Amino acid sequence: MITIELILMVFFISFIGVTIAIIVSLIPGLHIYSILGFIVLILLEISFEELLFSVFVISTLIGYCLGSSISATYFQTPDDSSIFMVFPSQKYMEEGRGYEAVYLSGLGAIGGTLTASLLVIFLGNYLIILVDLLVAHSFWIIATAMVFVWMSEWPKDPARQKTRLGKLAGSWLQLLMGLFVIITSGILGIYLFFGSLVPPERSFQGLAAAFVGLFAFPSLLQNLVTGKKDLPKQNIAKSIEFGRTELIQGIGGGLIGGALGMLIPSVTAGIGNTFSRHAVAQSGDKSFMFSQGFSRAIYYIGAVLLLFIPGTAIRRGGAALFITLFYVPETQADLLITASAALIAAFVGWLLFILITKGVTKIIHRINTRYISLFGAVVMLILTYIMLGWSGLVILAVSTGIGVITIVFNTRRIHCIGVITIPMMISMGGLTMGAMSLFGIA
Amino acid sequence: MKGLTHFMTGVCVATFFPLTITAVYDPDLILLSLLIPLGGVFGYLPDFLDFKFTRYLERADYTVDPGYHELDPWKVAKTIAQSINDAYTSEKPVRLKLETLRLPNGMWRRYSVLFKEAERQVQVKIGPLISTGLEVKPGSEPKEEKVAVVKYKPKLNYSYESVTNVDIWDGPTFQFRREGTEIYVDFIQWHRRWSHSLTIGVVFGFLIALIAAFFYLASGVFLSDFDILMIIGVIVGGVWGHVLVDQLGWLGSNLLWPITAKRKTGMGLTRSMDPIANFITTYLLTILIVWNINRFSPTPAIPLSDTLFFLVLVILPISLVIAGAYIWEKNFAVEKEAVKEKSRDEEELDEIVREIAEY
Repeated sequence: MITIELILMVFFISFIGVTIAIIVSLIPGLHIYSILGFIVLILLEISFEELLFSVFVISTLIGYCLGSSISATYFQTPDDSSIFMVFPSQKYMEEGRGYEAVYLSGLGAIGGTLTASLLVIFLGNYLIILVDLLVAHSFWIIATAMVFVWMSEWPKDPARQKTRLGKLAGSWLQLLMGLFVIITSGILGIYLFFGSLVPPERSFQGLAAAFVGLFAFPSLLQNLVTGKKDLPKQNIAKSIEFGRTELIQGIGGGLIGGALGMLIPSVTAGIGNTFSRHAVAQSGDKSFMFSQGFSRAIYYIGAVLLLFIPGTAIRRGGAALFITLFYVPETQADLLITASAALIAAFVGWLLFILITKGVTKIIHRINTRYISLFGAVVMLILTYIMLGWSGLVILAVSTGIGVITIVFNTRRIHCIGVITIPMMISMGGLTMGAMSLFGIA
Repeated sequence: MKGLTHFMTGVCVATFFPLTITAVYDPDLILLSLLIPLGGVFGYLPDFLDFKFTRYLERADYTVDPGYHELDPWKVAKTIAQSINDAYTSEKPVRLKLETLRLPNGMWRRYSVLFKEAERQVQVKIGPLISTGLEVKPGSEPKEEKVAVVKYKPKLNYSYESVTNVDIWDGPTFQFRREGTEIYVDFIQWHRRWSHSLTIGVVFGFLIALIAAFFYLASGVFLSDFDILMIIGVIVGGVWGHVLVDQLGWLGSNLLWPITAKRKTGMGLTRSMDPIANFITTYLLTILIVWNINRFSPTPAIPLSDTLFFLVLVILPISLVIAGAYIWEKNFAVEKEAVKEKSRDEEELDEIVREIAEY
């Protein structure tokens, strides 16, 4: 029953969730799932109102979408869904326009949150039909997605070698290393999904550690190795030029990319973005950064809200998994309360985001990214050790090794997503036993 | 068209073979559903071959750039004129590669080449800095204008727009060849030749079917005629889909290689980087895939008749998009004119920069 106390608690929890998430997301490399996993372990021991935990989860996701766009831009430490954002924003930083980059991706995240909430509330029943239709076809859909991700990579080697074979080898080294990354991250995923590297009740934390290693840790190491960057003083723009064409392209690209990630198992926003940029022939940095924020929010928020469509219990993504550890939402009221919490969190989050972004923008040129990165790395190491012990650190080390390959050979970092797509494909294709036998998993 | 559009064409063609869809409902046959991504592979393959193999293996007689520190347009202009003159005197094709100038932080130095056919002159101008996302950095042009104009001797037959910008990723190539008393210019001559032919689709189809039949036979399974025809259909359909979709653009393809030697001009209905065209095509292909999945599924989840399905999911949304785009262009005449000015060689350059958002 909806009471005034419940409504007040929803407001309060939304505020707390989004605030905490924005602040912790400033720590470079930290994924909100690591924090949520930690909180889940505590909550497993106590009793509480389950719906309020859902409110907390969705608020933290919004806070993460906003806060991590600050750290991904200023500290260059992305996760799988913000991986593409780093490169244009790096250029904006060099020009003293980091604030614009952060603002646009944050604005996209707010737009994505609103869109995801409205989509699930008003079109939820149609989305369910689509999910029902496609779920049996996940095997070939994931395979198709991965094939395209690899085939569509553009050789970045400037082809200045003297011989034709040299030029060919120069470009293909990058492409083959991309394939190598897909395969090795896939093998890591097979051990994580089907093996017993971590205790079953903490299996998701194992995957979270791998994600940190594959996507964020290599950037932290890069920051540590390259040393202090002499960034120019960043300008807090009073207005940002963002045309209607850019807006429409940004929304189109973000919606398609996010929806793919939200609806298809293991196809994250990173893969979805690879498709959407082609689908709308996206060009221009601003619409690109906006769409990245937009698609991430659709992916994270939409995936959780899918769980709340009455009578379906579709579980997509880690956050939905955390919620289902405690309960399965059943009523329309649950959906509406959680979606309302998302909108409250988006409003509060936006105000906080602007405030924090301005603050960080003012001081970022004086901050030594080396120390920040070191701090992020230490926090991640401690969290991983607490959650998973030594096996967690081994997973982190191996996945970091794979992630570093993408930086060294300049190949697409989204290839690391093989860590979930390959085992999911194997699972959907009924090939689990064969894979376990092949890799000596008992 | 963009890579995804071609890839989806191949995927879409494959889903028209019912077994590729129904295979997912039978654990013993589920691997057959991988014919669908295989369709995507062959739908994308013509461009993959051109951009990831052919362009690197193409011989260049001259390779030139204006230099990094002392930007020298004269060096480029002289080399271009020299290439044209050489092609005339030697009567052999001469290939020229213009290198791009990559700078730190995802920036590039643009320079442009202008063929003034009436004056028999080539003009090279150093331009501004440009990002990988094709955004020009304001105020980044050289302080003093750097332009070089050099005369060449023969009459030039250059059917593309006269200005070519050299900016991001790999630079363009030109082939100059003599026909009678004129020099014909082929822009990125290595693109859309044998790889973009209907014949290569048939060759790939039979080759892959043969390999598949051999491997299955080696493991004691005899592929039926239907299985072989399905494999051939998926592959030929993918490649042909690519070639035919490309034919909607300007550049066209060499459809009947090796019988024909030149690219057949396209219909000029769209540009490869046109967002609306790409979106509508990809959307249409996606809906066709969903339609196939639904109708071949044992329990179709979408409770619509075929007529209603296409009315609601194809005609209505596409009409809305086209109407929206029309109203948009009407209201933003400046942008419309800018699009109109997009030239034929830009259409071809689009092919090179098709992955500009790669980052």
